Amino acid sequence: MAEDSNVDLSIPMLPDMELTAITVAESLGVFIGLDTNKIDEVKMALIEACINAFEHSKSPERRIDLNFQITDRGMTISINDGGDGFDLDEAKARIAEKRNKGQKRGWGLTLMSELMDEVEVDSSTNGTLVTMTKYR
Amino acid sequence: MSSDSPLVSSVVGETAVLQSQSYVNDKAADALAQECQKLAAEGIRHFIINMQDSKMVNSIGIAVVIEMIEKAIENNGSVSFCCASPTIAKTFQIMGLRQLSAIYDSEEEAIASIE
Repeated sequence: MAEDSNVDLSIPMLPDMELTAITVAESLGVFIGLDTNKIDEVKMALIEACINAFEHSKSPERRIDLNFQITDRGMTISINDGGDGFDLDEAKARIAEKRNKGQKRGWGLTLMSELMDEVEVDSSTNGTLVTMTKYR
Repeated sequence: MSSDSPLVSSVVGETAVLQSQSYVNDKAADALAQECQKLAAEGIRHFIINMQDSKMVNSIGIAVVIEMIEKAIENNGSVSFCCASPTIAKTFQIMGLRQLSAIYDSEEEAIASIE
């Protein structure tokens, strides 16, 4: 697949700006021939990745950088929040505790994992990079 | 009983049919929940959310919807859904909403389930 099928996008952390990101995912999904359900799953996972970044990153720039990469395997989206990072195991434990207490929030990572074929989270004090792939 | 809300498409007996918005985020879900609360105060117990116009949802919006379902159940009522896309239905499944609520293919089926 040609290298120039990559798309870079930077969006501000403003309400509903995740909808801007999903228009790119949709266009690229159509371009590579993903079926409608797969495209919708990518869009839903991307919404969760964006709103997680909006809510939790504490990024001083208040922007997230996205890269959409088309490969022979499918579409890979990287979301970099430029925030102060978090401990994934601690976050998962906190979410489990909240769910046990009946709280309804904290489903973003679970939804991303269920809706995409691969999800990786790499978090450090330089920010959190979520990389997720949907196979063709 | 009647409602002039654009979210409410019909009210018959103790059942109201509401239309969800294109993107069910926290604001859209709050609007639905508030409308259901108003209708509940007027004696409506069963709510059908027609999702034919909804293309996307997010987990914050669904969390609000789950609270709305729990309130309806506490009031001996129900919230059911119809015309949801496969991805929205899958998202409901993942978040456990389907343990509390049914999803029907059509509005007619959803209404018939209550009658």
